[in-house]
Amino acid sequence: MKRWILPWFLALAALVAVGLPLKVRLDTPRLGQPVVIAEGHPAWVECRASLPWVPARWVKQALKTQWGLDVEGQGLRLLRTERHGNRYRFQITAQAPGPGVHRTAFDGIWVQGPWPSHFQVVQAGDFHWPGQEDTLAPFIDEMLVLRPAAVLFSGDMAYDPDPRWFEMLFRQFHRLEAAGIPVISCPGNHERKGWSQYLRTFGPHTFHRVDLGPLAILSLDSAHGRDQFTPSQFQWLKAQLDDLGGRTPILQMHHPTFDPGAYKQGNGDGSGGSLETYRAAFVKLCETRRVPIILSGHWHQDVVFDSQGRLRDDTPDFPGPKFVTTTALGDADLRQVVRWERGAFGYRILEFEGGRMVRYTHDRAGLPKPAPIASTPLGTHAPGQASVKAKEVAP
Amino acid sequence: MTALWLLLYVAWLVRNLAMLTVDGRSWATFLMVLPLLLLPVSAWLRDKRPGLFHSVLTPVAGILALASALVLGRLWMLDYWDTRQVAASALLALLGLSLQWVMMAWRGKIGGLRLWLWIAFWEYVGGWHPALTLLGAGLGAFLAGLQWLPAQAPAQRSRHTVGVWPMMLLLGLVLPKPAWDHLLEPAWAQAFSAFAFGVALASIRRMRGLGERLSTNSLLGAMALLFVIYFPLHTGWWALALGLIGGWLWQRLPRPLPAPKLTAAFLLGLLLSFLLHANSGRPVVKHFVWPGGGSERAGL
Repeated sequence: MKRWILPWFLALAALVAVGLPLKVRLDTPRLGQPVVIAEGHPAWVECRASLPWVPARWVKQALKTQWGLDVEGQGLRLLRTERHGNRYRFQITAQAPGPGVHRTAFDGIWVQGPWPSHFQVVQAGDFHWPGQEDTLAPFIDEMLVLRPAAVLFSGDMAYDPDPRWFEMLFRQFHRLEAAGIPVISCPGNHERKGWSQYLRTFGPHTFHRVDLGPLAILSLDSAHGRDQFTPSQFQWLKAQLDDLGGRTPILQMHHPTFDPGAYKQGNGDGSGGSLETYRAAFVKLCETRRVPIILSGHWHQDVVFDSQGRLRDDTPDFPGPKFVTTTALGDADLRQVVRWERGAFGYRILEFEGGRMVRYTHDRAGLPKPAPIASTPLGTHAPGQASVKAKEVAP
Repeated sequence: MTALWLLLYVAWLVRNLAMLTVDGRSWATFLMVLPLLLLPVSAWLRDKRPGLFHSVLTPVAGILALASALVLGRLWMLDYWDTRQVAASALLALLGLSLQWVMMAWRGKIGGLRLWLWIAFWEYVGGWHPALTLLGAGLGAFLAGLQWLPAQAPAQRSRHTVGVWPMMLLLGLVLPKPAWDHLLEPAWAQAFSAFAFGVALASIRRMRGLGERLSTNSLLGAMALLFVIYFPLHTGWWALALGLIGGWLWQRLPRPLPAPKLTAAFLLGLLLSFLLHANSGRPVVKHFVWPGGGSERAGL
């Protein structure tokens, strides 16, 4: 037994040698995963330290010097500290200056006052490739005109592991946040190519919840392995849907829930990937927990299914959850996976009234009113003249 | 030392490469897998030139293993491994080769309960950051290389035997399930640690006696059952049970442990496990890879 004293002593010494000087990594909030403080609903800041069990004040100091976050300053008030190994959590609160959602002095921490009855949330995904025409910047310009309560990005934001691409994403997302519009994102399949860079930029929580106004926005990671959930993520989702506190749940993930099935157009343009593991249980969960809408991308085409997996190109208004896929924001490879029109680059506007979703499609010429399926073409709300022409292709 | 190599290095490598993805055509990837490719060469050298492994080369290998693990630890602590970086891959290869050398030098002489507790500790701290698991591998190699790691007391041989291929292939298939489930969340590390703790527990005299009453086939069957019966909310207990079963089977492996064969079977199991779980939505597969993966009422 005594002969093991040296190995264990050296083990501790090695841990200290790796952990010093003390570093911290902020895990929540991060880009795409803000925290929102509401009256009576404090939020948690979460970080990891390079050494476990160190005093919390050291970690707070390191957060301040390394990340610029002062959990006891910048208008924030610290309520509670939790520690487990090298994970530290700080519960914070703050006072809202007025109605709506407001930035605090730290990017990613928002404070929410009385919420308007009518508001919009925008969803987009599948950005342009490096070297293609930039559609992200014009989209951000449009959002600054439209001023939704939040913008949701549902994956395939980065096709390139180059850190400069992620810096560009940071800059563009920051334009939205600087204008008071929180950004909430989830990863797609293409982010896996530069996974370490993605994790550095967006943090390690690839699925998360953001409570905003009357909404609980649940962002899921459908793209690890091959288009699937894992048991622990599925259990997490179930736990969140069982603890909504009266909020309306909105789900976003990269992959569509259903495969094109009988509605497939030709060979589906080679983009038939959909949720596979836990699909049946997921659909059942959305039905029983009354999830109004499940947002996705990946197919580069507008599609809406009902919970039976039927393509709803007849009406936007049908009972039960709406499984919605939104066209690409900028990936030039617009596809025709199902029989609905190929469409244009665009995004989707969700309108809410008194906490209920009242609209999720965009009326256009040539479609019945209200229009089924259709998203909003890029350029529709552009400031002045549209900077990018909506790319309409006949069905 | 073979267990340390398998758990803290081989399983670590497969888990992280699966998680962070690799470019099969890059030099960095080639360097990462170099220690695995050179294992048969090390084994051949060990047989043909055993004197080399009792020379100054072994402590030097131990020092190199610790140095590379420390550099990697400081480089990666709280960060994410960019698998395209050649320098980091070269350091990882150096760690792997040094650890392999020490393992060959001390084949079968270092093991037992306390080594499994050592592995359990380093798997656990891998939940603080994965680089720390490698630190445990490097430090283990350093201590063994300098003969500072106590040699194993001769264990009582089991009256049962088990084939290397069925046992290690199955272990490779079942063990990483928590890693494929929890991905970046540290619960995988706690499960791996519980597994190693279970193996340590199985080597206690009373538990050995209990294990001796069970046939090899029933233990292999129980291990296979744990592939299908997986509890995402109780991975610690699941892994502890796997550790007990794995520990009883480990005692039945031929001695000295045939490191290349063990590694090949374990590696194949790990890769097969990754392939199955990465395709867990496919027809047929979806009904047994994850509990309720193909059903409408999974945990509702």
